[in-house]
Amino acid sequence: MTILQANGLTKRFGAQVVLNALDWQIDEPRVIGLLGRNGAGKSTLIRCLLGLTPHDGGAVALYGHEVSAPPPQVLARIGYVPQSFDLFPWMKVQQYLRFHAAFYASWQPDLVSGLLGRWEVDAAKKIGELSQGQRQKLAIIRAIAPDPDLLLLDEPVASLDPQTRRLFLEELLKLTRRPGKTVIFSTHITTDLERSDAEIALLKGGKIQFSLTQDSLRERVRRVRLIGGAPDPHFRHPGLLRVGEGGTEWIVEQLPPQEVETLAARFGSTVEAAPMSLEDIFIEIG
Amino acid sequence: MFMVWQWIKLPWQRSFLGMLIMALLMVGAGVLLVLAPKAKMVWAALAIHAYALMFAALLSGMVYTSICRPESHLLPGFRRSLVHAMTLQALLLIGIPMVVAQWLGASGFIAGGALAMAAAFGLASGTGAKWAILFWLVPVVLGIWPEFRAQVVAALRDSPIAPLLLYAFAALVVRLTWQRLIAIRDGAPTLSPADVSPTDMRYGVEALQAQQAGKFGKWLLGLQHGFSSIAFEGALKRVERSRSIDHALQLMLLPNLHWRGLLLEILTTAVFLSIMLLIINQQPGKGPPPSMLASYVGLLTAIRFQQLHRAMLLIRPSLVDAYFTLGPSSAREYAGLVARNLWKSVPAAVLFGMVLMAGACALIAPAQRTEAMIGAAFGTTASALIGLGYVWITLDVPRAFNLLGVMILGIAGSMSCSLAVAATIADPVAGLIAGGFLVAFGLGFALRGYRHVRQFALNFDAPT
Repeated sequence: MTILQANGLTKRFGAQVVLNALDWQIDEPRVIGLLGRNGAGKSTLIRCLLGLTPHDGGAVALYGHEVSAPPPQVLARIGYVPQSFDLFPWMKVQQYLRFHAAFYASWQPDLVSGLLGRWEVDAAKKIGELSQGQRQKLAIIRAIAPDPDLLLLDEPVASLDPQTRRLFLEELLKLTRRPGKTVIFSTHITTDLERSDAEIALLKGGKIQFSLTQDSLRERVRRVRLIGGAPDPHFRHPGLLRVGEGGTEWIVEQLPPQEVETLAARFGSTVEAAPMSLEDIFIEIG
Repeated sequence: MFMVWQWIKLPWQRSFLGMLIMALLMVGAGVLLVLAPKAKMVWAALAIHAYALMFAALLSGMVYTSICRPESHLLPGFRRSLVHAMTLQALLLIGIPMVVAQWLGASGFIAGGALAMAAAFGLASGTGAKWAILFWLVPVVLGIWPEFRAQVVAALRDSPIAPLLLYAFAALVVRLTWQRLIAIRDGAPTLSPADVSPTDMRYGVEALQAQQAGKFGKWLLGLQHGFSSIAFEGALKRVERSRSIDHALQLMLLPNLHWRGLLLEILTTAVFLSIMLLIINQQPGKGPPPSMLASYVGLLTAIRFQQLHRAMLLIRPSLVDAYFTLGPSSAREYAGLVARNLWKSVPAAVLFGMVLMAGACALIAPAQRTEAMIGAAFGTTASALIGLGYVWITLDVPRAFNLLGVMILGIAGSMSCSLAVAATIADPVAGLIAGGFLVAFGLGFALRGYRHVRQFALNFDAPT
């Protein structure tokens, strides 16, 4: 069964079109990192996918059910970590978790108590008294606790320190290594995406531009150095994203290696591949 | 069932004291029924029960509103469990009294309808529905027109259809409230947590209130922001000319303290006051005593400072910018500078109070109006000074005082103003003495607060 399907999803805020007839389909369980610049609409997309914000056009279905009225058995399979956790400041952590536990048959109390201890979240404290990072940890614990099949996380680690981020990713990977689990998380921290070996989906111009494994992405976007001659730094060619270092460094997208070599040969050069981190790639195409 | 129990527990967890008082009132109503089961007492007990039920529903409505955020709709069976919890509570708190009332000889049908109305409007008020205010006007309207009240009672008693209207109306109110609770709307604009401070005004209660504001509220807020922006532009131009940032700092702390802001506040207050006076003027009789009117004026003048108290706590992290811009020789000096700028809130509050009192003078005998205004001048000054002292004393507290603050300021303000006005009307000399004493007390309290602020370096921590 299709896990998630968005067809022609459109969302406007006044005159601004944030999601522009976006199509996206996820058929197989996997980990997906949703990348996009600030204001690209990552949070809006996640909220629209979950039916947490009304959309202006198109349709979204989760596990085959329209998102506007998902049955409880579908909701029980979904976990969500919001971008900012500012809800229920008057509740104690323990009360908050017990309230949510009441709605799930699959709630894992041992996992919850274990994570509370390891992540040093005081269950006796009021949520309003927690730091932003601790609230984020709590939101993550609450989302993981019912053992969801589909977990959507909106910048879940932005408020966490590096140690907790790593711990969180370990927990996340533990969850996703099991069959049938899908995780979608938006983040700016590309090293986290590299560590989780997530597939990358790029949101740009209100659409998902691509959804690729990291290896495929690295094949798609490459950096090459020219050895020998070099073109004018203003040289332009389809598929050539940028020319740098006085014309000797090229960033190419969807340009086959032979074509790059042929192109370089026009300037009396040979080419050699230069490694690119995910962050480098994101800066070039984001 | 466990989910339903969680829902029922929530108002108790959120407002234990309030719910306890309401529960005790309900128990008291029950005891009254057992001890004095006469027909008249049944209605008295039902009235007490209705009062408690309305406030319990109001507290529940507040809690349910805070829970019914879009994210909560992802909980499996969320809406269904809330419906079950509300139905169960209605059966217990409306159904049982209805049966008991019938058993004791009163009309259970009418009693049930009235209780359903009270609960429905309490719940609606708790969710912040503006139209629920209409319900609070019911006792006023029934008080103003006794003939109409008699007709309503007669219709309920004699007509077989009239009580049905109570149920229909309650059902309509519950339906509208339910739609408010489960509506999924666009949230307040958010930024990445990496870009925003946890105390950003777009998050939390302020964001929710701004989001829930009606068209008129949003228009008024927009007007306020527009005027503040114009005033701030002017202040910045003056800063560029004179290099004195004092005025800009004042506008940062008190953004509506400029002639346009004050005029807007006075005009909106005057409009609401006129409507209120129009209603009260319809009432037969002598009208309310001046000291009572003054107590309201003092209360409203003083509780303005509760807003200032909350705002000062929320703005603390942002004061760092001005600290580095001003570059004072010490953090204590900066605390003094911030505190000094708050003095200007006193004349604004006094002006607000005096406008209110001038409006209230329409209900006071012409011969007493001058004395009432003189007394109010003393009273509002004392109220404002006490309010400012409170703001200064609480400037470094870790979290805002809410109910406690309103109570302290409300009592102090209303007592000061009513005492000053009562004394001045009784004897101008006594008014001068009492007013002078009250202003001196207020000034002493304010100066104590001012000294307190200057004793410590300003706290830039966000409130918890």
